[in-house]
Amino acid sequence: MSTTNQAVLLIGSPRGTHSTSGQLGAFLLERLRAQGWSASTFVARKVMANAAAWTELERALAAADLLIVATPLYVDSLPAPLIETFERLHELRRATAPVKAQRMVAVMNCGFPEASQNATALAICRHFARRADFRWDGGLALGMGGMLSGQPIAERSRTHKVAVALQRAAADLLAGGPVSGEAIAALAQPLMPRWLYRLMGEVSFRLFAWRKGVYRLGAQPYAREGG
Amino acid sequence: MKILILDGCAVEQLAVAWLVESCRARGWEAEVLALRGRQIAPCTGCFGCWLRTPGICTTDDDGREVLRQIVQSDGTLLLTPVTFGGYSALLKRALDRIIPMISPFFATVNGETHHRLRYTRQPRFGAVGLAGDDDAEEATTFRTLAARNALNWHEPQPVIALLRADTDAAAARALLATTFDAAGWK
Repeated sequence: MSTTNQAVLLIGSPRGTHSTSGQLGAFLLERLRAQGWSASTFVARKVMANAAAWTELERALAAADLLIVATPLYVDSLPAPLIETFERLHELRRATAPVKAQRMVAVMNCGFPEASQNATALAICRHFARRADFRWDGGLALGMGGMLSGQPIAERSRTHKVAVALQRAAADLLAGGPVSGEAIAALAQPLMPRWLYRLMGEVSFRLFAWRKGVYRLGAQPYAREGG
Repeated sequence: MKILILDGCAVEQLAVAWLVESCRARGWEAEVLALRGRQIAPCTGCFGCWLRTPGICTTDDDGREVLRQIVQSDGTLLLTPVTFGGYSALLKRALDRIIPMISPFFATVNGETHHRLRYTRQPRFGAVGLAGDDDAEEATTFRTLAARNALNWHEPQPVIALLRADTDAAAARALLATTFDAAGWK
């Protein structure tokens, strides 16, 4: 049996490793790898669509010390493929209990300015952890996810606050504890004023559509007759 | 009032019949849309439904029909097993695909950023959870999730109910009647 600490990153975004969720998770993994951990990465959507990928996730999780879930907020909750993965993992671990103590941490992001909008989805992760026999090591939440747009997180960029918060979270995890309140609070800090983020978002939506020749963004294709 | 019951249970539950009866007892039409067996691919997060084909998901499968039926209802009730305090993956797959119902543009609701509505006429919103046990924390999360979904629908008085696994028909009907009354749906 390997004595190296092992982590599994499970990405909830359908966009996979190139998504904002993928970048947040990868940043954490790199800090663990730098301290000698081994790590593997899975995308929930691919795992649910491919039997071989599911088997590989099962194998990696059986040996893991830490499960990192990195995911976007979808309709106040988790994306469906991630919930499906949780459902299957729960069934699996009810049938065969894990052979070692395992921890789980979640890092969420949403396109709304308020990081607090991730709270319900983090609660769902926490309930899964309890039912599936993971020790819950806490949940981190980021608002204004559109600022990252799937770009790598770097210390010398406009998202340096994200890097600082995740470095703190990684240090907490490496020390064997749950993520600290300081790390959680740091990641939840707005990256810019709310009004500016909303303005930039709406302008970029309009520009993108205009470039595609789409002008009626308020179309109502399924409206009932008479309203 | 025409109510659409979006059934996100993997197998048919007695609660479907209880919900239908409770709606009809109030003089409403009730239609059940069972999601099991339907071809609904996961949302790809492409935002095409906002920016390329506004109001229509770019994936052409049963997800589009689910959205059409929701938009054309007067009220939609979600029915789901409580799954880690949230909805089943089966139901969530359909819900992830109905974001074309809202606009990409922002609105402030209760001090938070949400999206504007796309349709002039927005259906009412409710959620009924089937709890497998008495987990109070998960029950709280379920109610919070449904209430937050209601904010996205700009629904001021959602129907939110939890039925326990051992609830009998009479108790379920009574609970649903009380919940409909409290929400003021007419």
